Amino acid sequence: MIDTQDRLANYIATFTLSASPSTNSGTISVSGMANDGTWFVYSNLGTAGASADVYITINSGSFTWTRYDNVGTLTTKITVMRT
Amino acid sequence: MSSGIQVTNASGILQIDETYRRLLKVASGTCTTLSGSGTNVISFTAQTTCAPLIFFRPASDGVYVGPNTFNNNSFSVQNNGNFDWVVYGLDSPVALDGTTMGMQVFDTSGSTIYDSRYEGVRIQSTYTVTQPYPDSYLIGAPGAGNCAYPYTYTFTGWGAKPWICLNGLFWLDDGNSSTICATTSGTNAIIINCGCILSGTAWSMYTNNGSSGSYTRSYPGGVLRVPVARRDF
Repeated sequence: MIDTQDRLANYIATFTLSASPSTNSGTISVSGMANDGTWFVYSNLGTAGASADVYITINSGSFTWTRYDNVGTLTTKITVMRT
Repeated sequence: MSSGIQVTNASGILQIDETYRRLLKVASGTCTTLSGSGTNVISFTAQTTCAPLIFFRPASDGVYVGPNTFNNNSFSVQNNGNFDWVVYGLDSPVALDGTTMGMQVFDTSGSTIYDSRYEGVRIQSTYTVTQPYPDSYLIGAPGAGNCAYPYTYTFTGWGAKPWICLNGLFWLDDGNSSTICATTSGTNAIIINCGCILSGTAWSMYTNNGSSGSYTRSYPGGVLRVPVARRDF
């Protein structure tokens, strides 16, 4: 059941970052993206066994990611949703 | 739109159309193990199409849950009490029931976009949370004492405890392995804090005004976004 107050998480895209180097950053373009509170970007690692942090900043038409800590041999997936 | 279906909510937010897929529930459960100063690892069906989106609901107010790792088939947390969890994704969703009643929406290629027999994410609001700023890291910082945890966010409730997005919180591999953690406060508020569990169930919470704890490594700065969701289960 859904309610009139719900914001259903619409899936936009997923981007995959390669494992190396562990500490790096970049910007990915997403058409229509805006820092208006309706976009949500989150991440995970490819497999278990290590720890890493990915910090996301939402811009106009893009988002910036910064990855650091113990990535090791793992890839990272970043998923974009709009609510 | 020349043809198809669009459902918008009371605020004009698009809920369903024939374009966007929705993240669906792939697993859920209850964690009854305390992490202590370590972490609890919870496994679920691997997600390869997108990163898994995880929400939690503390069993009672004051039970804080903070993230440690996010993987494609597991996540780990620090927690000082029981909590319910649910994972949303795109691979191998779990049907609510096997009924033939309900509604399905397909995209132009015939793939299912919406199916009322599956549980999707129902976000009610998203909060913007200022990260801690050690005084030595002042890029865009608001200044010492201006972002002292905890933060409380109050909203119009729906009569049940809210679910908090674990992905929206943050863990930092500093000397204290501090985490941005969260708990509920009744049915209409969440509290977001920063700290770590040194032993047992007691969190050592940090502020940024020198009154408690310390950060041994800089957080990235800026803000976190923390969605809050509703589930009728």
